[in-house]
Amino acid sequence: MSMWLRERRAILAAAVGSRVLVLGAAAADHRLHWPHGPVPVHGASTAHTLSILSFWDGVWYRTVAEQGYLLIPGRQSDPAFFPLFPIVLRALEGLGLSFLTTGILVANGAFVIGIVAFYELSRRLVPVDVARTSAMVAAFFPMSFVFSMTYPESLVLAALALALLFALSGRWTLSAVAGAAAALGRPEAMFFALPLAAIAIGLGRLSGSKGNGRAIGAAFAPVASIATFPLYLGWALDNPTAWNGAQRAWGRSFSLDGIVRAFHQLSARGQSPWLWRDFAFCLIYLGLIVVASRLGISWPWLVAGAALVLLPLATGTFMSDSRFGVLALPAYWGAGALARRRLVRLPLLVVSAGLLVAGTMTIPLANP
Amino acid sequence: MAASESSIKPASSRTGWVRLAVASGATAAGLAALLAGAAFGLQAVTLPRPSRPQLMAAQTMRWLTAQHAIKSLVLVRGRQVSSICVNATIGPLGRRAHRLNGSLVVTGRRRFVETRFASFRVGSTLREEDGPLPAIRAVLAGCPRALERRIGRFLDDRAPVEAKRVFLYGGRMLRLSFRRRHSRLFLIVDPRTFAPVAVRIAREGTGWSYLAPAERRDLVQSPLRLSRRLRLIVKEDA
Repeated sequence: MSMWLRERRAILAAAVGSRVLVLGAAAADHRLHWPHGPVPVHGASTAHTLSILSFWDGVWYRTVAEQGYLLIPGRQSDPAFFPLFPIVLRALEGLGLSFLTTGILVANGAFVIGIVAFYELSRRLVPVDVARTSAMVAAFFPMSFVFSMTYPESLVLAALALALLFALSGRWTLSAVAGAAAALGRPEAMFFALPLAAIAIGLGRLSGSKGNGRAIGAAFAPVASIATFPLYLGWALDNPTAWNGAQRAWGRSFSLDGIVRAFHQLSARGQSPWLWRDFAFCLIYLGLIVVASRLGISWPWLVAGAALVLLPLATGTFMSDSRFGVLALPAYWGAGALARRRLVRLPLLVVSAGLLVAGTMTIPLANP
Repeated sequence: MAASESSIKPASSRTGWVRLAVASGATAAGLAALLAGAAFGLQAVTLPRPSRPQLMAAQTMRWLTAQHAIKSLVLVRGRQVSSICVNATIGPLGRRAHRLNGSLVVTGRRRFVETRFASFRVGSTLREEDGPLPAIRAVLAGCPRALERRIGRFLDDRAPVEAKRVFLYGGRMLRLSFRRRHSRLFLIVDPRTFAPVAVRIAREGTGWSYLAPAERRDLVQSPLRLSRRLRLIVKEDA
């Protein structure tokens, strides 16, 4: 155990250290009252030292945890948010902590597990030095402050990395459970059914009919899990299409000309300048995925990563693409390959950490 | 002999392959179904469900989002006063460059526009009106957007909603009562379509206002027509 820990000391230090930076920046933001921004959503708490980590969608996840779903036609409402995070918050209600404190503890705890699992996964797919750098870059990635917010991203990162890691180890049932959990957290997790299927085809053949079946089951688990959400909404709200209805109210309906509209929106008058941050990160993710392809990462992984970054653009906006992309695992392998040399790695991590602090402190100004 | 062996071998391997595929498929489907069942159960057991009256109120919201114009009738000091309200887009107004969704309310010869942020009396120009009264008048006039906003606020806060059966126009209707701190709203809705047929705000001096979707002939009345200058700012959707 101590040997295992010693080997992963740098990864754990990066995961914990980056969270200390994020939590410190959030606390400084609260203490200094800087930068000043409007309270983003009604009902957002501003009293807690780490309040800013519960802003924006965090308020909606808390509402679901407290009061369940309700589709309110013609208005932005909560069925647009997947249920894993509220389920976990509600399950831990018995601890007697506030939803905000529980949310921050869950998000940050899951992130540390996620980074270690991602490192283990990376070791099986890329050289060890690239795996180590990739995990460090993921920990200090400028947008990784969302993993500390009361959002499901860190739970999904952990579940996804574990699902893929278990699949590579041939532990199909565990992989299926983790994959199903990831898909219950965010629908994008479904894209990773593709690498799961590739692993299942590759390894399942060797493990007999039962193992083969469990392997295919593990690949289908995220899809089966996602399908239960509309079923649940149908049961609870008498409306199985509530998710689509809510997405439309949030301006997130898919259309064929979505990507064209997303580009038009960039230059439209009166648009938020923060859109350019999302655009820039979209390019960065795609560039890093291209670099990952040169590492010999197989196409199902690359397609899953690219789909995760590109598909949201079909809703006609780049808005939040920088956040969606934090789950594009192949992008971190691309970054790991670029920064495997110490000469590049150190400055990159320092710049990333600086941007991470800046990103955290500007949470009140822009929806990540 | 060799020929007969070769004809048996592929058949048995095909049977074995089919058996393997069926067994694998069944295991995969079983695992996926088990996980789907667990995922559904987890959501059903952990997350609270909205109450039936809250769902009815959401249905009323859905009906309202499909409406462009509503007419209303209210009794003021024993006199029937009718209004018509149409959805409109308003702007640009002052520093706000964007057009805003709002409502144009016509009561006799008086007209006003109401938006989320402000209300304006419509004369030869637009004059801003202060206080909560214009918003209340828009709700009582049955303006779909104003009513949506009012009900939506109650639902956003998951305010308790009560449903009671009542009789109106010789038929069975549902009365939905919304309560949040000092604010109360009553709606009578058709239980088949969830269309609101009457609305009341619990406030001194306001009675029930009876609502119906506006018909084409209601929309051609002259007070709805605005001067060319105002039409640049207020555009009717109906």
